[in-house]
Parts: sequence; structure tokens; C-alpha cells
Amino acid sequence: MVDKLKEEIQDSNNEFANKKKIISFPHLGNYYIPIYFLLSRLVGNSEILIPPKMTKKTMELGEKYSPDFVCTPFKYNMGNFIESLDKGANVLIQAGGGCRFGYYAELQEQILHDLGYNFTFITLFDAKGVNIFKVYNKFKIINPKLKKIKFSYHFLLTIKMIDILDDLEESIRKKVAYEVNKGEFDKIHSKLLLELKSVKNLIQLYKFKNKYKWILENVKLEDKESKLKVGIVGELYTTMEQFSSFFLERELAKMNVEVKRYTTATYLLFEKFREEKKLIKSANNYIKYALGADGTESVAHSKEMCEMGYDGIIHVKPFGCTPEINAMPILQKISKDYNIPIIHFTFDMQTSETGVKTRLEAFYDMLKMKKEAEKCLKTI
Amino acid sequence: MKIGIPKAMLYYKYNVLWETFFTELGCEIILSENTNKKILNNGIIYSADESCLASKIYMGHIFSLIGKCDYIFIPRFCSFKNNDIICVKFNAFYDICSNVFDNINILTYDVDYLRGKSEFCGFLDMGKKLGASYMKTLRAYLIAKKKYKKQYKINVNNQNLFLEKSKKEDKLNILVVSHPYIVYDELLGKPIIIYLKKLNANLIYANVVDKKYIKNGWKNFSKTVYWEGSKELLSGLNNYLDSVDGIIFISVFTCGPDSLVNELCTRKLKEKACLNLILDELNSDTGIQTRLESFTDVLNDKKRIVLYG
Repeated sequence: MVDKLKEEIQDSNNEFANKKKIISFPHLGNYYIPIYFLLSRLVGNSEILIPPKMTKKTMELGEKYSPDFVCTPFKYNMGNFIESLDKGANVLIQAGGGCRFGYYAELQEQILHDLGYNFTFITLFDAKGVNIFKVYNKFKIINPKLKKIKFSYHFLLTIKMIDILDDLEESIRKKVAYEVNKGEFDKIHSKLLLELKSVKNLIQLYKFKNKYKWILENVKLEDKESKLKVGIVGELYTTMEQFSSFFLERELAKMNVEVKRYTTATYLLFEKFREEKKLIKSANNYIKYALGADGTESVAHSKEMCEMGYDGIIHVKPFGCTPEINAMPILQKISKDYNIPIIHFTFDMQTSETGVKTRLEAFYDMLKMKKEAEKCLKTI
Repeated sequence: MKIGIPKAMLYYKYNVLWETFFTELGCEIILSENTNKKILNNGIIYSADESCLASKIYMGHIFSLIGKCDYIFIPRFCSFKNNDIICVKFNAFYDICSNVFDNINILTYDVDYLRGKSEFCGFLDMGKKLGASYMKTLRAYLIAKKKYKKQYKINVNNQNLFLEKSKKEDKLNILVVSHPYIVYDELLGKPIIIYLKKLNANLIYANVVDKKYIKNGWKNFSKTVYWEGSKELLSGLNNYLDSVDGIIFISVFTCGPDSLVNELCTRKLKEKACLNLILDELNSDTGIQTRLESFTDVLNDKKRIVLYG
């Protein structure tokens, strides 16, 4: 009897080892390309499934199976997972981080198991921070033949890739307001993403970088004077994943507004933990301690942008995001002190796109009127 | 010197520690009133509308103390020993209050072991700010800490004795799983507790649990939980689970840790009856009473079936 049981266990283990693994992960902006690149190099024979593009259906699925007042990224991730599982994925990867993000994985695993799916769940980081050796061990579960050198090379290459992608996207955000031919940057952006998918090694990556830097520098631009400059601060998921904020940045680009955003993957991974003390110091007449997660950044960057002469600040957050709620009263005080308007956008499953657009248009009109009034005052 | 302590949030956990420390230093303590509708309404005015109900009440308490004392005591909590953290709301109360209220004198101490700030150093700094000598502060802290630990033990013992007694009675035993600042609050938890007692139930609190269980008790429910308060509640839940008939989870709307942890618990507790109560500022007492009544009815029926077949 015991032998039989043992055999069964071994069989099931073998089944996991022999069965073709299909790996999937949740979406986060355009970072699915570097993530896909990293996974495809590290997992050997297994297949990688990029979750289907986010749609209304993803939102509905996620909302249906998530607790009521959990923060919104949880629901989006849930939707991604369910859609991938329906397409045949059997290994799911979730990252982790501060605040509630570190606890997503356990509950998501439980909910998906309760729904009757059969899969393996892998969490890369825990709440205590990123530990590369632990990540290596996790990948070793999927691909036992993985070597440390290969892992580190591809890991560093992916980081470089993310860095370059962030750089290019930032310069697009900066310039898109001034384009002469409408839609030119949009085209370049989609071409850039397509070409990034075909990059295979360091040399190709640098070639890619130089090519697109050149292309971006040679786009025809209008003169810089009359346009509005707006900063986006807020929670990481809603700022980076454009679908969850109803493509806020694209809307702003349509209105010819220059957008500045600090939150990128490079910033979060490498600069955030170094900068904390500096940020608190720079905003020391408003905050004395860290507010948790991205709250400190929101406050310090808002203050910085107010001093740099931005026309307005957009604060985005998912519903129920505690760190950003902590930052809200402080942001309002900054807005009062510097006389620069701040608008708060809360995104939830029930938020209507038209409502957001209307508020954004009103904000834009207000900024424009304010700027013109200031100009008039100066000339008088 | 008068020190105002808001009677909300972690007051319900550290009340003995704080009160003893300040009285030992020769300060006068001014407690805010029990939570009432007026405090809640003021709190709603002074906080962002998505904040959790408990934090709104906290803001109301602080508003009620302004002008009545020299210092208002708003400690900051972030991380504890063994890398546990606390809901990020507690990270920011100091900064929120100093920005929202003008002319507020705040007395604070910072518990953040990850950034190298311990409770002990925090108390010493506080003593310095209040003008007490180093030795006096140290003495006050040690006495307060001793008293706090003693009180904690007494609470646990009382609950254990009560549990022994209630096993012999033919009453319903219900476990209340909720943060102390919700369950002991005059406006949030008290009406529920009183009504449950009226319905002839013995109540056991999950937040009162022996320190030695907190080390490992939570592991049965959740492998990765890292919030200090949730760990305590899960350990209590694990400890008292076998001796109760039903479990009531009480949380407030948009509570961060509870939104995840309570969901996981109700999913894992398939054999015990659970009731998940979520309180917000628009709740009606009747709605909650109806749910409590039907819950106790279910438990009574279940008990009868087990007894008489």
C-alpha cells in the first residue's frame, strides 16, 4: 500500500517534470517584452504564454473572483491569470513587493485553486525585498539545468533592456506634445515595441537603442513655448499600466500636453531604495517619515515638479490604495502653498472612462486659462 | 504638562504602556472621549474619503484634543522585530496630522526596526523632549513596560479562565476576530458585542492570545502573512478554533490587511461557520443586528443537530 502511494507521488512528480510547462505572468505596461525575453532564455524547453491583451473582459473576470475592497491591481492580475489559465498555462509567476503586493500571491493561488484550476504558482520576491539568489532558486524549480552564469547574464541583459525601454519611452512622453505630424510618435512607439521583441543579445540591443534614439531625435517638433507641462505621480501599477488608467498619457498627448513621470521599472528596482532619505530630506517641511510604498515619492516628486515650474500635477491611484491616500492631504497642502493645481484620479472597476475624460478635459481647460491669465498679468 | 492621547487605533493595545510612562514622568494625561457620532463626523471632514473608517475616527479624536493640551501624542509605527510590518496607514499619521491641522504640537516616537529605530530609543527621545532626565525616563519606561507585560498576561489568563468556564455552560461560544481598535471601540465594535451578549453568546477575542502562540500559530492559515496585527489574530484564531462554535470577522471598510487575510481565512475555514462583517460609516444598527441574529440562529440549530441528532 505504502509502495503504491510512493509510486503515485513519484508519478505525479515525474508528471510535473515531464509535462510540458506553459508559463504565464501578469501584465505590467510594456514590460511584458523584457519579461518574455528573460523567461524564454531561462526556462529551457518550456513554453511561455503572454497573457491576452487586457480588455473589459479581463476586468470583469478579475472583479468577479476577487475580494470586494482589495486594491485594484489585484483584480487586474487575477483577470490576467484566469485568462492565461483558460488558454492552457500551468505555471504562473507573480512578483511581490511592499504594502499589500507581497501578499497577493498567496491569496491568488488559493482563489484560483478554489476555482478548480490545476497549476503551479511561483512567487519571485517576498515583502522583504529583492534577493537575486532566491530568484535563481525559484527558476531552478522550472528548469533544473539552469546555470548561474547563464542566469546572471540574461538577468543583467533584461535589466539593460528595461532601462533602454524606459529611456526611449520617457523621451517619447516628453516630445509627443510637440509633434508636427499627428500620430508620428505613436507609430514609432509601436514599431519600437515590435522590434524590441526580436532583440536577442547585447549587440542587437545596443544597435536597437542607437537606431531609435536617432529616429526620435530627428522627428519634426514645434517650438516649445506655449505647451502645458504636467507631472504624473502616484501608485506604480496605475501609472505604468496604461490600460488601468484608461490610457491617460495618450489622452494628454492628444491635448498636446508634455508629461513627466518618475515611476518606471528602472526607478522602482534600482533607485527607489537609495533615494528614500534624499526624498524625505527634500520634502522635509511636509513629511518627516516615509509614508510607505510610493507615498513618499508622490509627495517629494510633486514638490520637486512644483518648484520646477510645471503647470499641474495629476495624482493617480487605484481604489483603496492606503499609501497614496496617506499622501493626499499632504499633496493638497503642497498645491495650496505653491498655487499649482493637483487633480486626484481614483481608478476602480466601476470608474467610467467618460467621467475620467471629462474631468481631464476640465483640468486641462483650467490649466490653460490659468496660464493665459498669468501671461496677461506679466504683460501688463 | 498635559498630554492628550487619542482613544483610538493602537491606544487599545498600548494603553497601559503609554499611560504609565507619562504618569511616571509626572505628566497629566488627557484622554479623548469615547468615540461618538460627533467625533466620527469631524473625522470624516478631516480625512480623505477613501481612508479606512478606523483612521477617520482617529482623525476625529485628534481634532477633539486640539487646544486642550500641550502635546498631542501621535506615535508612528512601521516595522517590528523579526521583520513584521504594520499597515502603512500607521506610517503616516504623524505627517498627515501635521499637514492637516495647523498649530498642532505633536509628541511622537518612531518604531521602525528596519530603519534602525527601536521602541526603547523612541521613548528616551520622548523623555528628553518632555524635559525629564535620562535616568527618570529609563525608570519610567521600564516600569511601564513591566506593567504592560503584566496586564497582557492578566488579560490572557482571564480569557483562558473564561474559556474553561464557558465550555461547561450550554451557551454559544463565538470567536471574534478583529483588531483591538475595532472591537473595543465604542461606536464600531461595542454595539455588536453588546448585542451578541444579549443573544446569549460567550465571546472570545482572538487578539488576546499568549505571546508564545504568536511565533508559529499563524502558519496554519497563511504562509506568508507579514502584518503584525494579522499575525496575532491568526494565531488567536488557530489557538481558539477548536473550542468555539462560530467565528465572526469584523473589519472596517477599505482596511488593507483585512481585505486579503479575512478572505483567505474564510476560504480555508470550510468546516466552521463564519460571518464576515464589514463596517462603514453608513451602516445601520438594524442591518447588523439582523445578520447577527440569523448567524446565532444558524449556530444554535447546528448545535442542536449535533446534540440530538
